[in-house]
Amino acid sequence: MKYRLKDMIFVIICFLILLFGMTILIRTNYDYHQITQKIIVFDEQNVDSVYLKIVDNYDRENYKTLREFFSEPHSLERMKQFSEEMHDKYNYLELDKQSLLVLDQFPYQEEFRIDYGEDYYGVNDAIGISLKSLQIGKNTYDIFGLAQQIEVGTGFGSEDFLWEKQKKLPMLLGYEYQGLVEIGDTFSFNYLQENISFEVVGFLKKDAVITLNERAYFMDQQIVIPFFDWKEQPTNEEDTEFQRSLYSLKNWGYIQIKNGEDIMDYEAEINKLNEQLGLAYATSEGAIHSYIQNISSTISSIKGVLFVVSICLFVVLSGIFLCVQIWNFHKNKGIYAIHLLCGCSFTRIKQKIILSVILQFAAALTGAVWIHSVLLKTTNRSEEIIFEEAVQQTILFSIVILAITCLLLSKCVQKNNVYLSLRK
Amino acid sequence: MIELIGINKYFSYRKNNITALQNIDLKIDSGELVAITGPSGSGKSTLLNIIGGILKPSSGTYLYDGDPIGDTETQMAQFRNTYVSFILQNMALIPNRTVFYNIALPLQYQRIEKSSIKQMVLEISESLGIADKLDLYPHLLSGGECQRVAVARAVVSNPKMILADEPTSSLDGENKYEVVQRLQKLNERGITVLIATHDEIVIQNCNRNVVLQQGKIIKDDEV
Repeated sequence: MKYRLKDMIFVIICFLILLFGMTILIRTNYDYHQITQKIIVFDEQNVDSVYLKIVDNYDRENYKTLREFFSEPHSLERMKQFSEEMHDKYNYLELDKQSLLVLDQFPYQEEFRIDYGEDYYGVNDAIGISLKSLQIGKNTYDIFGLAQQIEVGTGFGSEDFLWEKQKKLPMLLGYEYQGLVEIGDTFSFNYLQENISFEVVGFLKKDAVITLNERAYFMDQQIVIPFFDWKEQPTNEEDTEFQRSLYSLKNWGYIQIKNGEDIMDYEAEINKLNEQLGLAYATSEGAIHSYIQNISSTISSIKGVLFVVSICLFVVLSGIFLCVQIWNFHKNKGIYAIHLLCGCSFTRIKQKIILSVILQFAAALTGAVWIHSVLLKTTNRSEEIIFEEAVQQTILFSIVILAITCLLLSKCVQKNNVYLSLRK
Repeated sequence: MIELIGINKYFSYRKNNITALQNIDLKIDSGELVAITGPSGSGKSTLLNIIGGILKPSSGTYLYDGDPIGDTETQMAQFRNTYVSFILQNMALIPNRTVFYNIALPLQYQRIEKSSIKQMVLEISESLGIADKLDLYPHLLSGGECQRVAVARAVVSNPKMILADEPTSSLDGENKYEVVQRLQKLNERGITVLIATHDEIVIQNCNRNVVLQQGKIIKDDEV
């Protein structure tokens, strides 16, 4: 039962099948990577990166109101945990234009008030003025290099992003504030119904800007404050309300998407986190929504096609290879019978058949991989990742096919079959 | 000595049991030359294959020299290796292998060294007059030469018994007579020979005739 040159025909059949299968896998992987590449190019050309906005669905149709949510037990703790998870798992950016309000002690309110026309907003039953202000988290501060955009003074330190009752916080002022106020001046502003003292620690350079999803936040007329955390548990109703508002705002942040990452994966993770914590957060692509939607649907359909093609391929390959092997067994069972008569055990015959199938497969797989690596090099489409993925997929398919073939073949290779050929 | 006690053999076919042998009790002493006869489908080949350790009986006991032959694949293969050789109707040679390979096949499974195999094959082929055919393929040999190759393969491993299943059915008169003579000569060397046959000439040259019908022994006479 030595391996004969004639048996090479099975290696060739197997090789052709694997070659064909691998070509399809490389082709589909190539298309998939082309699409992914488009996202990366989009990133590079349009914005520094893509930022996926996290929003909540409270107060929307078919969702509970924020008030209803906060009436649930441990609602604030769950919101705080969501904020922590965002920071732990992702490059999570906090940036918001929640206004600081001022009552009457800020002398430059006319220069820096937000122009709402003649409208004024109430603060603790008094009328206040909204100032142009921007609150930014630690990640946002670092990623957009605000420390490098400071002209005079210092920036924020890590401890500035943590708050506790009565703590004075630093503020950076836009270029146009220079000459109006001095570093070291302290002002009290109203932030989310809480009066907080801020000390001027520095001034930003002219035209300092943060660009996020094609939207530019110019800071020449802005008061920039840290988007702080308040870790302690609230001890009274007033503090509870403050923390609820604070974390509702903090959880509307952005996740930085790196090159080649799939936005769908982030959506799935946020949904999972929602389920765990009983929250109603969602992702919103904002400015890049339509583009990403197109890309996502294309990627999804390509993934679907890849899946269907893979399954079909798997079924066809298994079928063809199994038929070939069964046919081969029936063709050779007379010879197996002679070996049986000459003292070979049936178990050994079975082992040799299975071993020859494995050898054929291994030889064919090696050949197919080699041919593809040569072809990819000659056509200058040698993209290593695509090739490696296709090889991995082909090996995976091969193992499955091989396992099924060996299993069914061992069922088919029965002593009675061999015995009958002996009689014939 | 071969001793079959209450041997039954059934085959499953489309969920039905077909009885091939029924309650066979048979004793064959070493060195006997026995013809097993009977109409087609009477169970001759099945009986030979059970005696040769190819098939396991469905029930009953098979003793060789007083010991059971074992019922695992390995034990049965070892039994065949040590005691048994077969000669079949169509000579059962591997077509795409040389005469040398065909004769040497049983020795390979006995794990005999290559140099000894060569020597043993050469000796047996010289005695049968086919030493010059060792490099040829079976399709290049005449019917008589093929039959001699089959005999050479059967005796090269010095078996204790030879089981021949219709060895003369495809041969003409001269070759038929030659096969009978060869089997007789082997028997004279002390080898037990069992021949399943319809052929009257073969039966006349045996010492004993066991007749089977519908899987049962209906007659067991000296010839």
